[in-house]
Formats: sequence, C-alpha cells, structure tokens
Amino acid sequence: MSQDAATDSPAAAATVPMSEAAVARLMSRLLGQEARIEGLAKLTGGASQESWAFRAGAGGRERAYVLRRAPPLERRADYTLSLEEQAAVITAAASAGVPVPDVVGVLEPGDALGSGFVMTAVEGETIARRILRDARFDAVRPRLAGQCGGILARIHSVDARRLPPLPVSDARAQLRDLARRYDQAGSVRPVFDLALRWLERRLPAPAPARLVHGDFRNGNLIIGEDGVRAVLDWELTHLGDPAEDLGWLCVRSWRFGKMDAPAGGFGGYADLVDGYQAVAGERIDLDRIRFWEVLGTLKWGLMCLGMFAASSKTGQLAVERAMIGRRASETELDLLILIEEAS
Amino acid sequence: MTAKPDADTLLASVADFLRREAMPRLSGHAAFGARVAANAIDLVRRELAAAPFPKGARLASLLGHDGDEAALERELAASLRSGTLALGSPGVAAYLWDDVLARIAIDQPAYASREQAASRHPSCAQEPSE
Repeated sequence: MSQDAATDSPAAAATVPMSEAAVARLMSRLLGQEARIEGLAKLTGGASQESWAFRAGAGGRERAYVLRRAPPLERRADYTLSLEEQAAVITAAASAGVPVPDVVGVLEPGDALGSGFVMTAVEGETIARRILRDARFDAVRPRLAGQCGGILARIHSVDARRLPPLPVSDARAQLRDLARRYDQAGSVRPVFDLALRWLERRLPAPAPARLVHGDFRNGNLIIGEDGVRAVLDWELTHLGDPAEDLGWLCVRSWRFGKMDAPAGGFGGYADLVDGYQAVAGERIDLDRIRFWEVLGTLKWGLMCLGMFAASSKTGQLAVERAMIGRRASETELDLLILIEEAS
Repeated sequence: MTAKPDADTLLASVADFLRREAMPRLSGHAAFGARVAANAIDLVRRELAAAPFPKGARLASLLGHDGDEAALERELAASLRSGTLALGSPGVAAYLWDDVLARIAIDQPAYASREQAASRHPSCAQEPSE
C-alpha cells in the first residue's frame, strides 16, 4: 500500500519525506474515517514550500485535495505568513463570503509531513494568457473586474478579531521599505528615484487598517466560465490600506498585453470600483488606487532587480532569475508612463 | 575581421538547438528552463546587435558637466530623489525615455507598454539596432 511518490526537489524531500501512506494517515485523521489516497503528485515546489495534489476517498465518497506544506517551522521572511497563519486567514475570509478553497485541516507534528494545511482542490484556470484570450472565457471576462471588486470588498470586511496576529503595513511603511531595498540593491535606476520622490509627495492620508490580501492578481485567481472561483496565495496578507489590493491588481505587468484594461487586463477602473462599492458601500478614490499602482510597479521592479541576487533557495533556475532581473526595465517604462499621465 | 561563423550565428544555433532538440525531450521544470535559456540567448543577440546608447555623453549634456558615466548616473538619480530635478526639468524626460526605450528594445521588445510609449514619443520609437 505504501508507495513513495517521486520528488524532484532534493532539498525539501531530504528534510520531510512524502508518501501515500503518510497522506492516507493524515486524511483518515482529518476526515474521521479510513481514507484511501490516489494520484499523489507534486504540483509546484521550491526548496522551501511545496504543493501536492491527490484524491482521497472515505466512506464511499472521493474528491480532490491539495496539500501545501513546508519543512517544520519554515518561515521565509518577516512579512510572509506561515502556512498555519494562511489557513486561519483563508478560513476567516471564507466566513466573509470570499471564494476560497475549503481548509480541511492543518498538519500536526504527529503527521510527520512538515507544517502546512490541506484544502479542497478548485477546478479552473489560473494562467492569465488563457483567461484573457481563450474563447471559453469571452462571456465571463467583462464581469471579472466587477467580481474582483466585490471579492476585495469582502476580504477588506473580515473582522480582525477572527484573524491571527498579522503584520501591519501601510503606505508610509511600504515606501520606507522600498527605498531601503532600492538603496541596498546596488543598482542605479534614475526612474526608481523619480518614482520614490513622486510617491513620497503623494502619500495618501492614513486609512483604518483592514485585512489586505497583498498579492491579488492574475495567477493567484482560479477562474472558470462562471467567474472567480477561488482566491489563492495568502502568503503576503497583512493589515493595511484596502486601496493597496486594487492598485496591485492594476499594475501593468499583470495586464498581459491588454493595456487598455487596467484591472487585470480584463476590465476598467470603473468596473472594479463599482463592484467594490456595490458590496462595501464605500467608494475607493481613484487617485488612491493610482498611488498604489505606482507603488506596486516600483515594488515589482525592485523584486525583479533583487531576483538575481536572491539565493537559489527560491527553487528557481539561475537563468530564470537572471531573465526576471531583465524585467526591471519594463517597470521603469511603466513608471514613466504612469507618472507622466498623472502630471 | 570577424571569425566565421560569427557570434550571432553561433548564438542562433544554440537557441535553435534548445528549442527544437532539447525542449521536446525534456519535461516539467527542465523544459521550462530550456525555453527561458533560449529566450536569454535571443536577448543577448539583440544586445550585441544594438547600437550602444550613448549614456555618458547624454548624461554629461543633461547635467552640464563631464564625468564618469556611473557617477553622472548616480548624480541624476540623487537629483531626482531630492527633487532638485523633476520630470519637467529641461532634458530630463527625453533622457529617461530614451534610456529606458533603448533597454526595453533589448530586454523585452514585445512588451505591450512599448507600443504605447512609442505612439507618444515617436522620436523614440526606432529600434536602436535599425
């Protein structure tokens, strides 16, 4: 019965083994009855975090699940959430009506699988180019920006008392952090200096801190012919300015060529803001969104610059990181466009 | 006198090998890596073919004095950060656009923002290699 699944990430596999037997014991515990496991396969994996897909059957019913795990107590950086914290946030978001996978349970030391959680698998598409171009999404595409607005309003409505302690990060703190990262990057990009100055002069008035997803964009949304089915990747979630999520969704790098559709390449600012207002009752100021769009563009540019310096622990190939490093120039171009438009 | 086959021909043959021979025989992350590697070689070919952007001369003209190219660029960056220079200052926007457009033509010629930028700045629309 026990059959070790193939792994191609020696670093993670060396620290925490993976086997159908261990997953069967885990699912038997979580489902409260003897579970059978089929088709255990690694979906993604860096050296520190992995996702595994499998089907589990118990009591005559079978369905697909995803296990996200990391070595015990793995925490990548101060501002990223542990998988246990992500599970707690996803559960709180679900109770606020946010479409998310169901968290079935959290790993315990006795499971001997590292730390992490099991969630139900959600069918759908995450690849932006397909969502923005395939005919099967033609009908739903015009509704996506409004749906995203509504979903963000629900995320921002989550009661902080239902959440684990989260990092707090507003515009001023993020700008300070970006300036520090740029100064340490060892690369001179005058457009980034221009952008830092522009942002410092336009810091929005402080807003009451809300739950912010932190990485709400194409790639982290599971989309079907019926719309947004699930919001994934709650690793950068924090408390902050709700406009941050709307601005990040509009960053030009996430439009995948559809530059005339600011919201993710599938809709306009008005669709997004109207969808938000329909759920939240309040209207987010466009200037505030544009501030966060510029900040998000600079943030992505600095991430590109930092990528080549990053350690190989990210699980990416050196050539992949090097080529992402060359994407910094796309953010310089976008910053010039955005700042010129706003002048 | 350049040896034959020249650097561009050699690089083109490596990219072609990666795409046509290696990629179909690889799977998963390795196949993805081979595609990225082929793209990297295409980028290097564009960089070798491009007329170099006269950064030092442009910076000296913008800032009104000569100097080491890296030092001049740091001076421009510091002036933009402090607000001594702004996008509206004489010559600043033209320099920043030309510098960025020269690099994006190498790094990502198909990036969609480039079209938009070129339509606003027709003088910058030409490929440096043309």
